[in-house]
Amino acid sequence: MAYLSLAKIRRRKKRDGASYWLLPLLLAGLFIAVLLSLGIGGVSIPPLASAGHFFSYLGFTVSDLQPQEILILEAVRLPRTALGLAIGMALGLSGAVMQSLFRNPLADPGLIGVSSGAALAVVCVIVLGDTLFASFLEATSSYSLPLAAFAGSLATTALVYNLARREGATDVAVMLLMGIAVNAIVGSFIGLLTYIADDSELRSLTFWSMGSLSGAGEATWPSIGIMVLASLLLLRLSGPLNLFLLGETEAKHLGVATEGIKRQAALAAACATGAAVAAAGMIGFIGLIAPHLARLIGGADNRFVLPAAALLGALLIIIADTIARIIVLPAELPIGLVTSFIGGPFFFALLFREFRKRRA
Amino acid sequence: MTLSVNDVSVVIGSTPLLQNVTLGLVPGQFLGILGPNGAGKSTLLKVLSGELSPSHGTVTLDSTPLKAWRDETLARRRAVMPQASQLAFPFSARAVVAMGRWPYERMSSPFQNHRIVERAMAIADIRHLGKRSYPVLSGGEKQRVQLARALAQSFGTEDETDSKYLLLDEPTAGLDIAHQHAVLKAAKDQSKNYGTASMAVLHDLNQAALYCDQVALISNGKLIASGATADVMEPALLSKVFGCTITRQAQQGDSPLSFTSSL
Repeated sequence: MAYLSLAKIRRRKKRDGASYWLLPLLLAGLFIAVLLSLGIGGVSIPPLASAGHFFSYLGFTVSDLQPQEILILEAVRLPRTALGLAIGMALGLSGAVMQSLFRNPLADPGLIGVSSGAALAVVCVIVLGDTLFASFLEATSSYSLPLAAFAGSLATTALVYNLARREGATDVAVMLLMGIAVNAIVGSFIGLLTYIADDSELRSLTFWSMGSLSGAGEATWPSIGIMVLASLLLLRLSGPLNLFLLGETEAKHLGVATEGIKRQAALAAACATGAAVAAAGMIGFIGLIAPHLARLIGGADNRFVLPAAALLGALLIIIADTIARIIVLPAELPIGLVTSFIGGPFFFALLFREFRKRRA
Repeated sequence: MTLSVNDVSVVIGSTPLLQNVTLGLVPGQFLGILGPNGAGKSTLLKVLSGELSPSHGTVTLDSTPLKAWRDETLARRRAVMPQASQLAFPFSARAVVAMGRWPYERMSSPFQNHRIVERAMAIADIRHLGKRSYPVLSGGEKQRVQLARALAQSFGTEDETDSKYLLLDEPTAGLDIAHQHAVLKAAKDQSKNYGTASMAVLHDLNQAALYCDQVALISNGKLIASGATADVMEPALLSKVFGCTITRQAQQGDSPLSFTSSL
């Protein structure tokens, strides 16, 4: 059934070229997923009832939820959903932008050091926090981990970006290689710090690296703000990034200010991903899969792929978080585990599909 | 009112790729660049397109240094057809050609863009490939899609008066003989009908003689000769530059120059 409709979509795509008509469908799908996800958990709330509750604020309907249900909905699940939406959007978009920038369908923000930088900074704070960074912990209190993660990802990206600069020009191929080298070095530092960490530090480290949306609340608002702003900037790059896929020289010949685009893309992707990692730890695979999924249903035009990857990323996070919340009730699974668990096999499927197509 | 290099040298490391080359592209003329492998033909094209800054000398368009032009404005004046373009993502051939309209996105209507893309695709003979995915096209078909993209870019808008520059880097490489002629004819027509200054790096002497108004001969990074095709393409000079025996058939009436070569 699902396969049939996919075939129909593909035929449609061939006929009229552009696939923008899929975007409202994706948005509607995301809306439904959010309503369903808001109702699923320890206390279940029918989706229509929660929709009715939200519309009651506009005066259209009368809310028939219990006060306790309203509390769960508004204080627990809504912030969590909002954070999930922002993270999914940021990760999906950053992935799509990186893949265009590097002209490589396997690229993700991790390549330019975003994730490893954040991880190193967080490991530093967790392991050395009570000794070397005591004053930092005091000054930032509950914001210390997100701040460190964000700063770490920006600093590493800036390092990779500047290492790849030669005479005012940045070569993306060099950037990729520099990213690999920097990632290796940063990884060794993470390993070293993990080695000297004690048991409780190891535990919090491990949990952080598996990602979770449970930190949603006031502390994550700055992160959400950064993700939204950076995403808007990334969306504006969709046109020039199309030309980037032809090759950087070709893009320049077509009038794209390539250096500016590279700088904006790297900076905005680092901010978006850095903020996502800061708010929820490491959530793998969304940045890789959401853009692929977008291309699969609607073609490679970035003016479609970028917004679609944002919507699909958000959709995937909402689904993964719902699963993470209910699968081991009353506890909850780290969301990073769920995305990797679904993402791995999905990626296999993508690869096999690609092989089949090449043989045909 | 030309795109020209003045006393340009390019040195990469300690290897000189171009030495003191002075050359201009003239609107309405089709210039062929001839020379042995490694002579600096593509380097010259890269300097003219602004991809490579010369180590010495200046590149100017309308007397303004190329560097002082904004990328977007420059893109409305000159189009480049690259030697090979890697595109791993499944864009349709038509979408790739339409990318050539990017510099005019805000200046001409979708209808006009569509018509120009159609025209460019017709000239490059790829209308039947429009919906095919670019990565699965053959090498020659990809070349023609790139040609159509460069043509779509150099068509500009209807009310423009500034002369355009069309730079083709080995446009006939990998094409069958009929399409080789089609590509060169397209470049020549562009010059004749729209006053475009076209330039192509070529290897076939007979094709250069048949289509080019002017020829520049390059060897070891130096400009050996440039000027009207019949004047430059002297058998003795060509033999010396290419290091083989090149003879020119006696001309009868209006027939084009024709060359044979042997070691």
